[in-house]
Amino acid sequence: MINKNVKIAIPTTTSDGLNAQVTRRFGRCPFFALVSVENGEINEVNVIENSASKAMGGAGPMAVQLIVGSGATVVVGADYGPNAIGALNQGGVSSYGYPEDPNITVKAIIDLYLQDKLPLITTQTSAGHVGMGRGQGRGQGRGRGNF
Amino acid sequence: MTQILSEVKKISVTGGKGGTGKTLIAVNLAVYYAQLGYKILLIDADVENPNSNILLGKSLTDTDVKRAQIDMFVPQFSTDKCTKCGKCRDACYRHAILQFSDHFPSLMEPMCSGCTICQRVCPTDAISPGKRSIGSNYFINNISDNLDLLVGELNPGEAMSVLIVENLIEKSYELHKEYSYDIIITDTAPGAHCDVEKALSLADLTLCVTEPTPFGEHDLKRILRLIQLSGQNAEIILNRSTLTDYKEPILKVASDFNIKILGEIPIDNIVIEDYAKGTPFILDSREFPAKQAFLSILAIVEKKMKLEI
Repeated sequence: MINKNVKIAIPTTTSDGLNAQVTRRFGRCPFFALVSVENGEINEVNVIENSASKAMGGAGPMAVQLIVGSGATVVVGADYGPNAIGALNQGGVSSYGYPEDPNITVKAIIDLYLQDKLPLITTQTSAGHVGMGRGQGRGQGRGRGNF
Repeated sequence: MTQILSEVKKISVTGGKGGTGKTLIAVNLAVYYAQLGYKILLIDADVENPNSNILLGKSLTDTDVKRAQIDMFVPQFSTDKCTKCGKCRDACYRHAILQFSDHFPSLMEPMCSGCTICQRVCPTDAISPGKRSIGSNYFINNISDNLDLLVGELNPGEAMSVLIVENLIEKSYELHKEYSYDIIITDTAPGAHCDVEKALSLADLTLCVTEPTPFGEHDLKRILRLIQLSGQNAEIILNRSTLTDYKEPILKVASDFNIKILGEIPIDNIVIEDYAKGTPFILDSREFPAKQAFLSILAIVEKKMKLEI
């Protein structure tokens, strides 16, 4: 069951909130759109810069720290590495996927979430990334959720 | 610590490329000097795929093999002392520590390098050393006359190979106290990673085994760059020298790095036969070109190492 009173984080490449372009990258996305929903209606939109995007290694868990710190308890993204998924689970954040559509917007993703049409993701969906420095990702991608 | 081994002659065998004959050279060196009456420790520091024991006819599961588990540091958080200040999380350069506000920190174990910085920055002494098993060392006393073998093995999927090599070096100090070695020979992994650098760190003489192919040339350059950085005393052995006519580029690498080619070992069916049987070719009583070539290389090594034969 989805939560109709919730703050949702979505990785984006631009900083224009509901109209921002979404990105498949999770840990190293430039921005997160933070959408607060109350009684199933969007009531506030914020944008935070992802300070983890330039991390040497461990960007996924760092981004999770940021998301948990922002108060979001749901994240909707595409490629979650093994470390990110582990950290999201530990931080009590529910992770969802969204349909593969290059034109999809933040707004459309929120609507799909509120209609309970997004798949819950519990294992990594992309291989671990070797960061700019000495990342140690060793995952094996397992494809995306079923749509 | 290095003083403990100051009286011991230390030779490392490396080369960059895999499959050039590092283990073959290292084992034959060890067996040869052991036969001459030197007390030898052979260290297999190719910890991701150690197999020198096979060439010495030994299985690591044999009952006379002494195995010791190798652990690495991982932080253990004491909830009694932790104030949730977040300093360990912020100091962790791998971002392996998660700590959400009002929660105790937790470790994403596969990301931890065991560096202990978290323990050192903790203001309330809330982090104590925990352990994670990452591999093993194996010791075989008298695998053949005068020859002991120490093998390091990294568990599959683990990343910190250098910690295994560090463990082997420490273990060699201990063993030397008990057995008083004359020569310690270290067989390294291929590549030019930090575990290879560590394995070379003790050597008085580093032998780089390569082959006359573009791959041999390429990887030789990489290992020589590492050796240049760490200031080791190195020489090249050109193995399977008759494999191709790609010899000039190897000579060029040697002259570019101002490193000598100690000798060449030709392709020899007897070496391959012995290898397949798991016998060091130096013990083969027949006369054959590769053995002759190897013996003349040994003569130079002896001079360099000031060994009394």
